[in-house]
Amino acid sequence: MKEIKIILADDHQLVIEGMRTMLLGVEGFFIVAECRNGLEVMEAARTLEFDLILMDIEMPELNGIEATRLLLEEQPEAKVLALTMFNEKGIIVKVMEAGAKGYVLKNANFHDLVEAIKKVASGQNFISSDVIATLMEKDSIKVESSKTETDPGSLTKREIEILKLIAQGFSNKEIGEKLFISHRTVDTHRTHLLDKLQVKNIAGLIRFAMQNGYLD
Amino acid sequence: MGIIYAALGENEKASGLYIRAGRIFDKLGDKLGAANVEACIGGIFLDDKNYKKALDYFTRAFKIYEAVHDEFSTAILYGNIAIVYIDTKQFDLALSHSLKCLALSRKMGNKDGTANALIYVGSSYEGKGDLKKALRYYLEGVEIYEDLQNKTRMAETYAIIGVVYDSLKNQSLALEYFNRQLAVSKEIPGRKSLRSAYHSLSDHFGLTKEYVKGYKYSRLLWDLNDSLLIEENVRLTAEGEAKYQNEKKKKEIDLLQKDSKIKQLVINESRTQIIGLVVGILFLLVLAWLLLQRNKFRSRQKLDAEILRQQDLGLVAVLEAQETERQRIAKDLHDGVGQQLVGLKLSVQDAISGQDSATKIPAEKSNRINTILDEVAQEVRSISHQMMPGALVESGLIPALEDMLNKSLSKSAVAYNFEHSNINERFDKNIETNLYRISQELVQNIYKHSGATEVNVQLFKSQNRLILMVEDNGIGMNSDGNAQKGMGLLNITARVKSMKGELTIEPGPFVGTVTTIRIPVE
Repeated sequence: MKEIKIILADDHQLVIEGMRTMLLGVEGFFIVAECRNGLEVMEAARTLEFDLILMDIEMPELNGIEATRLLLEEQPEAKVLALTMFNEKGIIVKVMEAGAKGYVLKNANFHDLVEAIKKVASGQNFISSDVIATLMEKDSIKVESSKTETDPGSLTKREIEILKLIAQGFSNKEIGEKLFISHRTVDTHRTHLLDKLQVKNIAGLIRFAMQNGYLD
Repeated sequence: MGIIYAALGENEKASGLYIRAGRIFDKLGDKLGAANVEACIGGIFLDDKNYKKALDYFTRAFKIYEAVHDEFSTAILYGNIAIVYIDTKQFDLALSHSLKCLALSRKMGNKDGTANALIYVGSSYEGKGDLKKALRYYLEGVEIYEDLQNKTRMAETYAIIGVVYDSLKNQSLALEYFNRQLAVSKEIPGRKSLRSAYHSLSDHFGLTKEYVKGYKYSRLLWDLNDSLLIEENVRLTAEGEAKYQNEKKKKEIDLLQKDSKIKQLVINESRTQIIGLVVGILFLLVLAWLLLQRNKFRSRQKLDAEILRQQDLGLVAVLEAQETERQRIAKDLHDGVGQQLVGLKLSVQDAISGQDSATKIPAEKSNRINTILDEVAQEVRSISHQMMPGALVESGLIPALEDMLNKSLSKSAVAYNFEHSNINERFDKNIETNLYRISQELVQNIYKHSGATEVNVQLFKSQNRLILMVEDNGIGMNSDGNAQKGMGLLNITARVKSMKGELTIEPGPFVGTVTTIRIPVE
């Protein structure tokens, strides 16, 4: 089995020591450097021969994400496996975007970690199952404008006026005060809007406003 | 009318009226009426002690009465004429007239007239110096007065009888009659009779040389006179006082009028100046007041603004301190406890795997230890994450909200949508943190209390406002609009305020609640 030279990066002494002990117990694994921050990782990566960087995300001076990005700019073939406690999609995505080849949580089973190291070192990607679950979480929807679904011509001038005010976050009462009409009248216009646009709530009205460029 | 005036003692007016009455009677040819008038006028002259004229009128009336045989009036006229002769000391004529008067009065049974006639006869005899005859007639007369209970006449006659007895040197009888006079006088209203009674007694004791008693009565007389005098004086004084006061007042009024005239002149002269001055002063006062109000308003505004500023500063400070503290604890948990747990787990795994097969802990037990360690680590990570989501710092508001919604609702029955638009940048750290915390609070409230099955979260930018809209389809707010009282809403309100933003909570179009937060951003 081909030997794997590893750079360990973590700002916590206890983690470094635990990792070292465990990894050295695996046949073929070698630790070539132990780093406490992103800058030390950069330094080690420039000077040492290595197969894989086991990278913590949250580190002082230069964090794991930035270090990954910078390193891959210098050495596009470098293999980074993120080892972190963060199980948040926003961070996972950012790390993967930065160029990491794998993402493993620190509380992962040790055998999973060994497998991840072997896979990434061999040029494959590896994402642990719980991280995949997080990535599978529901995405937010970025609504872009000018995807006209309904002909705004069917709306009266007054309705468009009120729709714009709703899309500025004003309440019924506030819109009434702004237009010098009673909030009941606003309510009636709003009901007509809901009816014409075939939506059931304020979110639907705002979505329509977002899609039709009524936000500004 | 003439009689009334005569009774009142207003003789001049009475005579005037009588004369007019006489002329009227003459014209009417009423002889008796004319005679009555003549007699009355004569009576007036008698009162005035104008005896000659009185006698003239009486004689004329007398002729008329004789002609018409009016014996009543004739008797009265005899009496009146007798009085004239008594007063003029022609006692023989007086006696003859008074006797005729007596005879006629007796004939007609006129008791009053008879008594009067008896007194006239007595007076005539007294005048002639025949005191005893006089006394006889007086006593007879007074008897009739006593019968008639004519007290004034009684008192008068007692006095006359007393004087006669004194003249006859019968002092004890004289005293008795004077005492009778006094007794009767006391029953007569008015002080005139009493005074004459005192007078009589005082004179009597003077005659009898009983000076102490005399002194007593003269003293009583004096006192009576004094009191009369005093009364008179008081009356006069009162009148004088009133007059004086009136005059004084008049003078005062005159003075005042003069004063006011002078003032009027002065006022007239300087009216324009004064008006100008007053208007000027008023103007200045109004101006001063306006300035004062403006200053007050400004200083109040300043003060209010300062208070608000201080409140905002305080609020921001509190929220920042809270965030800092949360981050510190989150970091301690994540970096300290969390990492140590990782280290511990690695050590335990190493220890388990490095053992001899003989003393090896069964796989069952080692797995259990691993599981417990995993759970503890997970718990710490979760707490740390809730306190400070890594995504918020690393990736910004949208990934952080995505993550929050996921962690909060993906395992619940509440479906959610998170839409955003126009957001391409990171915002101020405070805004991101506050909006994250607000969303967290709102979602927790919806999950726990609203009974909603759907939540829509929208984050977008419109006209330099960052807008967060959270809408659910739950049970909605109470009618008073205070669905989310308590610490949660207070916290949200404070956070919105610290960002100088606006918060509205209102019912959804059909169901649920719409919460909108608008934050000014560049």
